[in-house]
Amino acid sequence: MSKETVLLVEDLHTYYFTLGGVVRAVDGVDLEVYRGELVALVGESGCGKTTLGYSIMRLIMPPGRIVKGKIILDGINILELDDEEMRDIRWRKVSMIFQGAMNSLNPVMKVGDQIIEALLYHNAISSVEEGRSIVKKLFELVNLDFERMNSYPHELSGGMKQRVVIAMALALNPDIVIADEPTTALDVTTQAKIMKMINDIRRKMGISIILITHDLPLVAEVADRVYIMYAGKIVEAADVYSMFKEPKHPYSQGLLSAIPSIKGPKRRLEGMPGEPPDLRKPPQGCRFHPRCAYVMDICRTKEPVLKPLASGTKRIVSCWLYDDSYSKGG
Amino acid sequence: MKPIVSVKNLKKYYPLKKGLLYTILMGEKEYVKAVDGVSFEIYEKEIFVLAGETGSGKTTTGKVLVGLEKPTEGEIYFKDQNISRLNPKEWKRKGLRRKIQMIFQDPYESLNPRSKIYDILAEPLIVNKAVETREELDEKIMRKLEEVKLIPPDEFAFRYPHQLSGGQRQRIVIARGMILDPEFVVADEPVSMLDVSIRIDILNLLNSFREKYGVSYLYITHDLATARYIGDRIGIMYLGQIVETGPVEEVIQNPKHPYTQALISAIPIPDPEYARRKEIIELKGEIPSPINPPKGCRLHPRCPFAMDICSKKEPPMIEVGRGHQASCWLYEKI
Repeated sequence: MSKETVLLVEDLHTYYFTLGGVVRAVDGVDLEVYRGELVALVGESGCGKTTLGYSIMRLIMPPGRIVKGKIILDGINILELDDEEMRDIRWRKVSMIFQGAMNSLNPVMKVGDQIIEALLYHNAISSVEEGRSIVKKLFELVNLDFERMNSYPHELSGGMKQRVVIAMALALNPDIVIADEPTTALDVTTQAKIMKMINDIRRKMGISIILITHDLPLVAEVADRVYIMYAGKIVEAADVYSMFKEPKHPYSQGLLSAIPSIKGPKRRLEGMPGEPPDLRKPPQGCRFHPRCAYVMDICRTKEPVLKPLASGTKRIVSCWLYDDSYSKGG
Repeated sequence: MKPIVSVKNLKKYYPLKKGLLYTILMGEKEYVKAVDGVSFEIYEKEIFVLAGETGSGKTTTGKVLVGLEKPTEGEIYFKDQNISRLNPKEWKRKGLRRKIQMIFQDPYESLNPRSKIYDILAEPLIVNKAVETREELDEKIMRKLEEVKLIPPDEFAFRYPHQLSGGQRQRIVIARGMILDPEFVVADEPVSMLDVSIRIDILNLLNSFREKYGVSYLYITHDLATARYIGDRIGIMYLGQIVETGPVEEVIQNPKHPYTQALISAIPIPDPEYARRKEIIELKGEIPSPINPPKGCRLHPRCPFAMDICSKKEPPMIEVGRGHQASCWLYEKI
């Protein structure tokens, strides 16, 4: 079965032009998402994963700006659209569940009305009645009682509010939903239910999901493919099984070996030395080299390129350790 | 072995704020029963974990233990002293402030942004008259900074908290908690705000104080993976009560209480093949309000195994293995 690409990000650069300097939050990112798959975008705070999500929504605000690259959604480079055209696509083709969105619901408006308002704004419905029937379908999808549409946010639990937020993201039938830490504020039993629901909806509606998270065990449970991001760049991408079985990039290896689990042998774990770099002045060469246990001379001077591990494979990694051109030549 | 801390039937109720008229009409006050009859012991050099979800009462228990909240009922012993009814002056006079410390969750909120690291660490030493000379003060501060791996210490001592990363700040929070050489420390979610790659180092650091100085801990968390990594014994809390307790490994690998079973089944495992095979036990509905917790066993309205007795009588703690107890009627021997 050939896979259909719904989103292609090429050489994307999103910078923040602050008084303290240029923050290179996304600095040359390539990303591909196929129809119906769940792609995890994993990284630690400040690695640029949320900025990448906002860039795909074209919601970067000054002092931030997309400086370079392409974001091709269903064949259209959205960076070439004007604001009006983008407004038509946003939420219809790509939508986002923002981090902490469940705490940003309007506290003085019934949750059902908040969804209907959004539908009206996008001219998706012609009457409030029509809106109600859509809310009814959406609530069914996210397992909420229809009566809940008349509740105010404070009357709902965290899990229910998150369901409302997810319903909003799905309201206009998008092809892709970007979910930014959708379960971090929730308890683990609620998280399990919400993730199962997101996955069921994905299969039912055939949508693609980009899950932005730092929670690797969660990724192991739900993702098809994984992108690991470090200091504004993708350092490795692989299908979820290969990634957890045999991570290639030293950063991925470090991350995966630093997570405690409730299964498997109990042993002493070690964290990674150092801290992620300041993105105003990232290190020369490979951005991970100051923390890397396998650092070589070339790593300090020349930036590695993200490329396939072996020809014809989908595993890509950006590390000199695996670069034939370097080891053969040098 | 004697326990360093023992808690007996601890309760903490918070009165619900209602209007005067309501109180007159309804005749009685309502309470949020945050902690409702909790008992456990912590031994020397032991890390005891209290784990549970939001609203289970784990943090309140920790606050009562360090004297930040007064218990409504029940007793707390530190060694042989009953400390449950002491006022703040007595806490200080008896030296308990030095012996019992707390490490907070949020390294961004728990350090005074206007104080230099040196002053943050000097304050407890000065207030508790733990040092006599300036040299002694300097020496203690530098040594603690070294112990929390902020090296070289003089490079960190004169910075402000905002000049440090999250992980470094949490090391300062730990240094402050340890600077009076406490015997017992309550650590409330000390790594939940930190990035994955630095969590393990902070846990290893807490462990190093246990190994070096014999510090005992109450480790409060919602994360059973870190609980397993660092803990010796564990108590699983649900709606203000401990529903299961025992050695960490035993409770996690062989959970007996239906709540513990559901909780553990929901935890993601960092192994895609295993994760996709495992079954999740779902509890019905959501956690009820701690104002009017269900009668009988508090889990019964959500429990897949609920029996008649469960809605009528609160289950006692029943021995289900060596040092392993669960409060569930399923295990009562007839």
